[in-house]
Amino acid sequence: MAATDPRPARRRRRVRGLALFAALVLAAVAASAAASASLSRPAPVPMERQLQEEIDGMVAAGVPADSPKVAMLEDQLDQLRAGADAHPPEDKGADTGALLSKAAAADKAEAEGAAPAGPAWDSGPVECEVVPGLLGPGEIAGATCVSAPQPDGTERYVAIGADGVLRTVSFGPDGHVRRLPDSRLPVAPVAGTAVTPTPEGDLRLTPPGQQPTVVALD
Amino acid sequence: MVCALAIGAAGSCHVPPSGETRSFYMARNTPADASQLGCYNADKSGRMTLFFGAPATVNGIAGATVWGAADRDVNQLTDTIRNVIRGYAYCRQDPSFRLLIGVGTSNSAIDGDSDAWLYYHGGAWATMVRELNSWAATYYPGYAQVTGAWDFEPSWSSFAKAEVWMHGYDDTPGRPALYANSSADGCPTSSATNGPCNNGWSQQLVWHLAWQHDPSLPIPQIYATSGVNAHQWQLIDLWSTVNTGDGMYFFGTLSQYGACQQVGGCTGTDNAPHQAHDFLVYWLATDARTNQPSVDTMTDISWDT
Repeated sequence: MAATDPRPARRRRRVRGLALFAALVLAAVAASAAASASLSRPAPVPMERQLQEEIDGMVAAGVPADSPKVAMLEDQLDQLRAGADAHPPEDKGADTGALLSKAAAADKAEAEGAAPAGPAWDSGPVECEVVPGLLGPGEIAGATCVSAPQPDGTERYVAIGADGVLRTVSFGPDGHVRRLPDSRLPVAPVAGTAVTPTPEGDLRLTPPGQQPTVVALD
Repeated sequence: MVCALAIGAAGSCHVPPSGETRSFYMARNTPADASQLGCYNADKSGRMTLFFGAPATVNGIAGATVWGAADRDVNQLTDTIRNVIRGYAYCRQDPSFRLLIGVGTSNSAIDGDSDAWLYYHGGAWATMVRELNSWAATYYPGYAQVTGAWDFEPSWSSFAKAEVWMHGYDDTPGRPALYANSSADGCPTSSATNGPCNNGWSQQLVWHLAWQHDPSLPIPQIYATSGVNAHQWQLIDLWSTVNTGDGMYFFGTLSQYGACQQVGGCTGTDNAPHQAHDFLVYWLATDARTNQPSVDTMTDISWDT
């Protein structure tokens, strides 16, 4: 055992020496790489700076640094930072250029007064909803609401109250949103009345078990 | 500080024009319209909200109303947001710009909904937003992030119903942040004693939803040209600071100048973005316990029609 000790011992020392040398080289390389990366890393974009300021501001205001809210923002910041260097796969979900061309063509036709090539608005069932600043919660309570596309390409959002009052908001292109004067049905609608838009942009009311009537939306 | 002393001053002392973002009521949602909306915002970088309407069941699943058009389910809403991001990425004017898009719903007309359904809807909204953010991180990581957003207003529902929706959102694993684009309607304008707000709400209950829930990032509505909305929020912040030790941090302000111009005017509620921002910073600075040197986001809402 004694005769064999020196060799392994020297080997160990040599291995240790190699490991130390390798570690030093690796450390130097790593430090160089880190310095290089630091120098080559792009400056934070404005949103990264803003998020960092928000995190710092929260903590300065007394929010614990380990709070879930701070952690959530740090995750957002990490995502932003990662995005700067990412090489994402191609999104093949849509032809954005074609969609933008279609939108531009529709705008041009609209500006020239041409009739819309198709409905500018989706049609279908709607639930009653506050229209901020124009139609309040008290006005939609108990109402039946319908979306009625108009031949001119605009849209009428109509809340038919249980009292028979029609409260209407008109939606047009380029942010044209207006509350129209209220009107009243000849008789209040009975419960269960089906309300659908007609192709002409009016309303078809069909009480249960009765023939439909059409109400013009002028 | 200069901004706090100069309410309504030109924006030279706060964010650059690119950081003064636009938010929208999403009344028009075809793929072409959504792409065009994203392209329209190619000059912006910051937090913004795309508001849909009230929670609704659409095609048998969760969705939202969209005012002038047919209600849309979460899959259709997802398509809309994706197209907005695509349009933004296609047109973006500066490679340093990023949008942090809040996808919003509200507490409008939810009093008639069951607690189980509201909890389900809050969870479905959180899931939709989480998946959208994951999609954005995959395909447009250097362009956009997606969070939730919520326009809750005391006048629009009971607190209990709003709280159930929030729990549905908050309890969802991996749920992103939620911009609290809220109002404090009816809340006290001169006291911080947990006074009443409209519809049975209180300062504490508004604080609870706008801040105490972990996802909530307050970007409140500061509409009134008198500045009273900012004062209401400062008093809510003061109440929470004094009584819970968990005061609020405001991430921005929401104004509605653009929407007011579109609908023919709003009487006394049409602050411009800088006015809204300056009102909030000013009122927060009136008490050392609520002072917040900067409020980074200012976003102004319009109708997208």
